Amino acid sequence: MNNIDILKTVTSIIQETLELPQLVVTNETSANDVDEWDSMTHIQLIAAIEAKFKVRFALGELQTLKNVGDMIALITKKLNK
Amino acid sequence: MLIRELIQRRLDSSVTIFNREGVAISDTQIKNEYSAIKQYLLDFHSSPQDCVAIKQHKDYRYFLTILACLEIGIPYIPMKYDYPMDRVEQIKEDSKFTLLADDAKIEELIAYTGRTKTLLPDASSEKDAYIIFTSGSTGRPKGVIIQRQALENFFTFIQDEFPAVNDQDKLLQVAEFSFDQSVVDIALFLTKNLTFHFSNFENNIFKLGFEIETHRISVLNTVPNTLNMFLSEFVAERMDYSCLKHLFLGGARFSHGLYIKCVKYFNKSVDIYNLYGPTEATVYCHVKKISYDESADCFNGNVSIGHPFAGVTAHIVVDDKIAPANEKGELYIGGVQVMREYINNPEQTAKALVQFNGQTYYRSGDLAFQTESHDFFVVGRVDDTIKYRGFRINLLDIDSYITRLPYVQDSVTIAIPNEITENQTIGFIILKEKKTVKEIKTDLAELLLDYQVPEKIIFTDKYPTNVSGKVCKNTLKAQYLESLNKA
Repeated sequence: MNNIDILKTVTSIIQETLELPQLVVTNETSANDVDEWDSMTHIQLIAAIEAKFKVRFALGELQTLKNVGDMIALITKKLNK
Repeated sequence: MLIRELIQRRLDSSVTIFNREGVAISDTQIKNEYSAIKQYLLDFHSSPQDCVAIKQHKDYRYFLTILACLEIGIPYIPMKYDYPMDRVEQIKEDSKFTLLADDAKIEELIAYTGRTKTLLPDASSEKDAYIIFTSGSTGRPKGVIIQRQALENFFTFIQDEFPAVNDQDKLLQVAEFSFDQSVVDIALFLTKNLTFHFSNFENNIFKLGFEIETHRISVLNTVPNTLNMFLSEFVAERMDYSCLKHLFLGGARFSHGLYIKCVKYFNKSVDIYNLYGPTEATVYCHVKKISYDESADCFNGNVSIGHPFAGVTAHIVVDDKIAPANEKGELYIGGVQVMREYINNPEQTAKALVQFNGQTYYRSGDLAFQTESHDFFVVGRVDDTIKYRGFRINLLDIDSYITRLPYVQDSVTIAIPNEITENQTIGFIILKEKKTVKEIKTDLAELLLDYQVPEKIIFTDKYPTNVSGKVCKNTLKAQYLESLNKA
């Protein structure tokens, strides 16, 4: 799976979790850009991403994520392990 | 316990502080910077009316500025670094603060080498310690004036009530200093000699967990909704809670759902203190140590707030009389911790402070009852003020700001209770011209603090009204909940 495919999958997870089917998601998108993306939905989002990609993140990895691009880099790292 | 002596004694001993980046600041650096800040403020201080507004990013220098104000005896006003200018101007108008110690100014303070004065001025217990601004129901924030004697009582209680907290403990400092919950951290630092770690949490629950694990934090002082996220299944699966020993919880209702999570994940290994109190009674004035025995901690799904602090009296009042056990009424709080007044606001002061049984009481507005075993329980608000993410907000206040937007015709904000944030706030807005939710929220961010902006905004063209034409909020709530069910 390349980064474009991962972004597509992550985009649909974000759109579904936040109930915003039209939301445009890029590598630069972060919680600050979307009102519906609060601390609680952030946890739901990460849990959905873990389930979809069948990976498991540690708190240390999750605490550094600043935007969708960081998330994709982390997923890529996990998938390549 | 005199504040000045307490601070001097604490800073005479060694101090261990880690800044928000997790870097240890040496004892020498702390003492040097503190001396410079204190000397600057001492040389600046020329009038009893002086007052210092502090508006910095939360870190150890903010903390040192507070300590210096307290030691010298200059009242301080804690503000968040990103307060909108409108709010800062309102605070200045009410308080007439004479110095703004912001992120730029603090650099000047720590580099100060002058020495005009050497003697500290009078700092008697009747003087003001700090002024903290809460949201007001009249559309203006209210400045609560807390005297030094109130703070002295609070510090004494923290010292005496929690003997198990000691100099081996490590505290993660999470609360903003503009939120008076942070005064608990200050009290613990001064009376328990523990190590201070400034958190870089910023509502990122994963970061909070990482900081607690990395620094092996043993003391945490936070709000129930943060703990709720911290004990969510996702975090719990990855988190080692074993380092936590003491949990101070307050600022919002401790729900029964959260109680069950605490029992599940902490299993008696953490001392949990449910603290209660309005800002007007100096941070907190009631405490309950959770026993993990539900029959002793809870009543009808409410978690007890326990008993009042020494020096505080509390009564449940119905029709100007003390209510019998188990009857619900308004919680009145009296004693040394009650505020002096709302600054520059005699009208609101007269509403809040009342004479009852020959003593001054603060009317909390909280609906509460007391059991036969003298445990207090808070079950809601008697007026329209609600708790949201640990902050007290008034729905009418929010509407008064929303209707200031030139394109808004009317606004009615309601609150729907939930487990996570206490309440979900929903603003029903009638527009004069077409706008998007994003545009409105951007404009509101200039007028309101982030937690005051309604979580959800819904456009409407009319409100349900009762026979006299008044908006019927209960019907609005019911209609909204029905629409959710249909969806």
